[in-house]
Amino acid sequence: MIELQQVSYGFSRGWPRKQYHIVLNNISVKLQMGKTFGLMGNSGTGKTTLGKVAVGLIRPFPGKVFFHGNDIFQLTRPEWLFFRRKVQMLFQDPQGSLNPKKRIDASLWDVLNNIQVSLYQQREIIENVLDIVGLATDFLFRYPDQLSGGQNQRISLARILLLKPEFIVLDEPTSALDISVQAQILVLLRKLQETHGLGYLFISHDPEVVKYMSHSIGILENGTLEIIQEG
Amino acid sequence: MPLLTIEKLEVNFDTYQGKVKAVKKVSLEVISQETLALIGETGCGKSVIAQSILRLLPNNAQINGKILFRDLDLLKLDEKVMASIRGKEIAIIFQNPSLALNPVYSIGLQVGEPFRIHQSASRNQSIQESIRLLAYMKFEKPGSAVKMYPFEFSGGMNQRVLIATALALHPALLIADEPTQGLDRALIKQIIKQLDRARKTYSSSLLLITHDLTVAQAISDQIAVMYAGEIVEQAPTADFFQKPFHPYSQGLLGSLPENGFHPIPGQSPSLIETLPGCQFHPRCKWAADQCRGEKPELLSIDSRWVRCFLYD
Repeated sequence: MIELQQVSYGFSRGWPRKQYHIVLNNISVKLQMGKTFGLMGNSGTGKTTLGKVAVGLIRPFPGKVFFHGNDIFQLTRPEWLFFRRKVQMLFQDPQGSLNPKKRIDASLWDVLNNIQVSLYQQREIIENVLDIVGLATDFLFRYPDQLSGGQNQRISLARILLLKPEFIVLDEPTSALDISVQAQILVLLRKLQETHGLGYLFISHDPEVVKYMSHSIGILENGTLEIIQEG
Repeated sequence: MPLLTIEKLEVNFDTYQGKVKAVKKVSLEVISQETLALIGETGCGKSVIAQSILRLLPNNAQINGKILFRDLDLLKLDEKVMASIRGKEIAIIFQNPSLALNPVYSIGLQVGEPFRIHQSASRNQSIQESIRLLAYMKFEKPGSAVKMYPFEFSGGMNQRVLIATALALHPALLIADEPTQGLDRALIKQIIKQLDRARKTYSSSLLLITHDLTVAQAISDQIAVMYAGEIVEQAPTADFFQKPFHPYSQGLLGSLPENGFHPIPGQSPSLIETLPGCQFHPRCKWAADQCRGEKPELLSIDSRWVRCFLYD
């Protein structure tokens, strides 16, 4: 379980006199494994910021984030690496989240090399994960710009699944995709949740999509989180 | 009466990977003062059609066929005549507002550009006209908005700026290429409402290119569905949403949230290697041997057209 305790965050902006703009104001929420928490709100309300706080990409000030009861900013280096592996984030722009200069196979090997998987096992693991996300192995020899948005989003998801995560923050994963591809990705995400017991923080501004995906739903507005459905 | 008629348009691109057949013998008609929505997945050739109407395609594109606009074949016109049509008779709203606007020119200069180019208006006159247009597009303070730059506006505001620029000279045909992509639901509603209002005020025709079915349903009179560079179905919008004929159209409607997110299995085919037979057959649950071997032609059923052997 990931628990956000009285999390606040703000940006300073403006010149020459900086003004402090509060995006998250004293937010507390519990994100369960195997369940989806849907986060809605208009553009610029801080949905992505809350997602980044949950995966430890930005440090709240003040506030605490707990992963299985441990404060993530007090973890030792090995514990921190374990946490980063288990809690992942899938970004909105599928093209932008892959390295354009690397072939798909190299992007996937990178992940496996980082977690020190032996070369002998890599091919089998990659084939398995491509099978899970519904792509053929000939995609391995292409570059991100030779794939469609939906295919790139599946590759990003495959990279995440290689790490065997427990929790994924999905930041508008389908808003850049066509309606038919959106349905494919949403169905795949639900299937993965059932088979792997993954927890999701699903960020979207589309109420229909959030309703379809989520067990509980919250709306972020003016820095505060209002829970409208408990699951 | 058709304002724009596209006859057997074919567009190919030469690339290192091979010849990309982006548009395959597409025939379409945009009726005067009506809205035609062209829908389909990303990469099926919708935007290529829009760009070939205005002859904005890159040099590696080979275009064949006819594009008749008021009996003028746009593909055969001299570049000078074409330049006088762009923006004046046919205007386009591009899909990415923040990229379509020039970041170093103020909004007023950009909205007023058509007046300076086509009507030789002075700089001040063109800015006065942009204030009028921005007020029409419901900007709260058009007088100060003309002095601002694209980065100071949100995506929705920049989109409204682009619509204002396109409407400047009351074009007979307005092409909107994914005008709502990447915008919030609330903004989408606002943009399509203003687009429709503008079309009615200036009695223009609209060619709306989108992959968002709800947008197409809200403002179009006719709908044409594209798949892998071909038109697979064309119908009046109300009839289409009541009963889509082509299995691909049925799949598209099935993937809508209100119909329970039932995805179409498989991926769309590559435009480099053309499949034998119907392009949709690997993903179609009704596919028969005939679909794998023969290419279906567009069949006319009442006021509709469909490319499928099921209706033969």
